[in-house]
Amino acid sequence: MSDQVAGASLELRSAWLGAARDRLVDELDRVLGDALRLEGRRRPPWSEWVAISDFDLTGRCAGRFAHPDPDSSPRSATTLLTRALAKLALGAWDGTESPGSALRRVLPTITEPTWVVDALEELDPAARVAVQSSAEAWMADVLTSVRGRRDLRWQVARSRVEVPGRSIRLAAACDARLGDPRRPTTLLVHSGRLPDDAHDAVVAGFVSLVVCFWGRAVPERVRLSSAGTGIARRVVVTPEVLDRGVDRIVELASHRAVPDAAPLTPGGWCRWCHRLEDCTVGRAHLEPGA
Amino acid sequence: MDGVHTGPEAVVPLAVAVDDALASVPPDLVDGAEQVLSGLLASVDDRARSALDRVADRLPAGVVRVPKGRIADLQRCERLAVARHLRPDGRPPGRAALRGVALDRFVLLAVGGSALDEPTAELLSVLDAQGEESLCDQVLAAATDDLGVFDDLVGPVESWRDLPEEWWPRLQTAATVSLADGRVVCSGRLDAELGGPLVHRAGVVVEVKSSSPSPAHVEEVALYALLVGWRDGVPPALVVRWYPFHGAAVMPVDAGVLESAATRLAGAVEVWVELLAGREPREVPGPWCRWCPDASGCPSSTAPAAQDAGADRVPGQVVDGFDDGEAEWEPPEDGVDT
Ligand code: SF4
Ligand code: SF4
Repeated sequence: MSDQVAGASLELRSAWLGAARDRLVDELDRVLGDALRLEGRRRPPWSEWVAISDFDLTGRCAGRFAHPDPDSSPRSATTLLTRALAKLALGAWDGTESPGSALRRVLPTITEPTWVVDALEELDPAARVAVQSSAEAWMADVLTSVRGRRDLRWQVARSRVEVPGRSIRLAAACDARLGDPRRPTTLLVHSGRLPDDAHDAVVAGFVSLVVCFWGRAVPERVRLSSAGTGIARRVVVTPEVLDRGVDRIVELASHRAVPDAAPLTPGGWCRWCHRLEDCTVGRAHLEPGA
Repeated sequence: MDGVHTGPEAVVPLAVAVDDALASVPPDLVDGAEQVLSGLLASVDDRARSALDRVADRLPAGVVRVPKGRIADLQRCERLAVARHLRPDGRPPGRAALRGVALDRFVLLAVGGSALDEPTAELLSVLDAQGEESLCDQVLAAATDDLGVFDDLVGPVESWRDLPEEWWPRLQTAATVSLADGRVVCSGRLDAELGGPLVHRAGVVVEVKSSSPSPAHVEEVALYALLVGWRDGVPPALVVRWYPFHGAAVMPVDAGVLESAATRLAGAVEVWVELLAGREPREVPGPWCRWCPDASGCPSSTAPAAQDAGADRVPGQVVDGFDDGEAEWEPPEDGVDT
C-alpha cells in the first residue's frame, strides 16, 4: 500500500469535492425532475427513502435493484458485527500478536458502538466463538492485503449521507484511512469484489464522495483490496473518477423513481433473486437448455 | 506424494503432527516451490485467455468460476459437472455432507476454546450465527431422525485444541486467483491456516475431511497450496488433510505439487469454458454415477437403479454411508456466475 505517488493538492481536492456535490444535485434535477424530491419540511417515512449503498454499485440487473426485497438487508447483522469487531481489534493490534489475541484483548473493553455491545450480549457462547473466528479470519485477510501495515486508522462506522433536497440516502464503508478524517489522503476498501477497472473507478468515486461528502476534500486515492487475493490496487481520485460515482448514483436513483422502466439483465444471479418467481425473463434464462 | 498418516489409534494433537512434519521440511524445498509460482501463474493465465478466445463468440457474459468442487467433478465426468454446477437443483445436502458441515463447526468451536457438551445445540448456534438458516433446518431434521448423528465427531476434534497462538490459527480463510483480467476466477475457502508470511513462519494449510482418505483430497490440498502461494507470494510449506478417524495426512509442498495443481486447474478452466460455450459434455461412468443428478437419464450410468438400490440411493442424492468427501455440498456463493 505505497503512497509514494504525490496526490493532488488539498485545494484541488477540496474544489473537486464541491464540484462533485453540485453535479450530483444538478444531475438529479435533470434526470429525476420532481421525483424523489423532498417537499418543504415534510420528511417521508423511512420506508419511502431510496437507499443506495456501495453494495448496490456493481449489481448486474437494474430490475432487481429497482424492486428491492422488503425483507432483506444487503448484509446480515452477523457480517456487520464481524467486520466491526475485526476493525476494533485491528485498531488495537500491536503488529505482532495474532488476530485472536488482539480480539480477545479488545473484547472486554468495547463500549462503543453500542449496537456492537448489544449484539455481542445476545450471542450464546458457541455463536460468539463463531463470530470471533470470522472476525479473526477477516483480520488476517485484510492484513495480508496491506502487508501488515500499522498506520491505518480503521473505520467501524459506515458513512451515511442524505442527498440535499431528495429522499435519497447514500451509504458507504471505507475500512480504513490515512490522514485527517475530514481530508484523508487514502481510503481503503476491502471486499470480496475482484479487480475490474470499470467497476473500480465507480466504487472509488462513490466511496470518496459519500465518505467525504461533508468533509473538506476528497482523498488523493482509494485502495481497493480483494478478499482472498492478497491484491490491493490503487485508484487515483480525479474529477473523472468522481463523475463515475455521481453517474451511478443518478442511474440507480432513476431506476427506483420509475421501477418498471428498469431493464432486466438475466444471468446466473437470477437463481438467488427475490423476483425470480414473478420474473419471466429470469425464469426463462434458468430453464434447462436456455 | 500422498503424505504421512498419523493413524487413527491415538488422537495426536494437530499441533504435534504439524510441528513434527515442519521440522523435517528441507528449506530448499520451500525455496524451489516459491520460485515456480509466478511462472505457473503466467502459464495458467495464458491458457485461460486462449480458452476464452477460442469460444469468444459463443460464451455467455459473466465470470467463469472454477471452484474446487467443479474441478474435481470435471476430472470425473463432464456431464456430472454440468449437471451439478451448471444446473444445480438446489437440493439440500445429504447426511454425509451434513456431517462435513458439522465437523467444520466442531473444529471451529474446539479452536475457539469452546466446550462441546451438547454438540447438536452448539452446532445450531454456530450455523445460526453464520446465517445458515437452511442448514439449521437440515441439522434439525437429521438430529430428529438420529439424535446422536454428530456425536462421534466430537472426540477426534479434541486434537485441535491448544494450537499455539504464535501460529495465528485462523479458520475459513479465502484464497482466490483471478485470471484473464478477472474473466476466470478460482476461489477456495481453507478450513484452517497456520503460520505464513505475516507471522514470519512456514505456512500450513489444513483441510478438514469427514470422509475416508481419497486421492481427490490430495489434489484439493495441492490446489489450495497453489492459491495460497499466489495470494501470499510464498507457498505454504505443508498441506495437511485431517480426518477425524484417520488422523492427519501431511504433505510437504514442493515445486512438483504446485506444477500438477496448476496443470489440473488450467485443464479444468479449458474444459469448463468449452462446456459453458455449448460443447456437449462427455460421459465418463464411475463410482460417482451414484450421486449424479443425471444418473436416471444417462445411458452411460453405472448407478444401480433406484428399485435395486433402496430408497437411500435415489440418483443425485448423497448416499448415506457412501464415503466420498466430494459429496460435499456447494453453497450458493460457489454458484455458476454466467
Ligand atoms: S430474476 Fe433475473 S432478470 Fe429477473 S429481476 Fe431478478 S436478476 Fe433480474
Ligand atoms: S451417470 Fe455417470 S456417466 Fe452419466 S453423467 Fe452421471 S456421472 Fe457421468
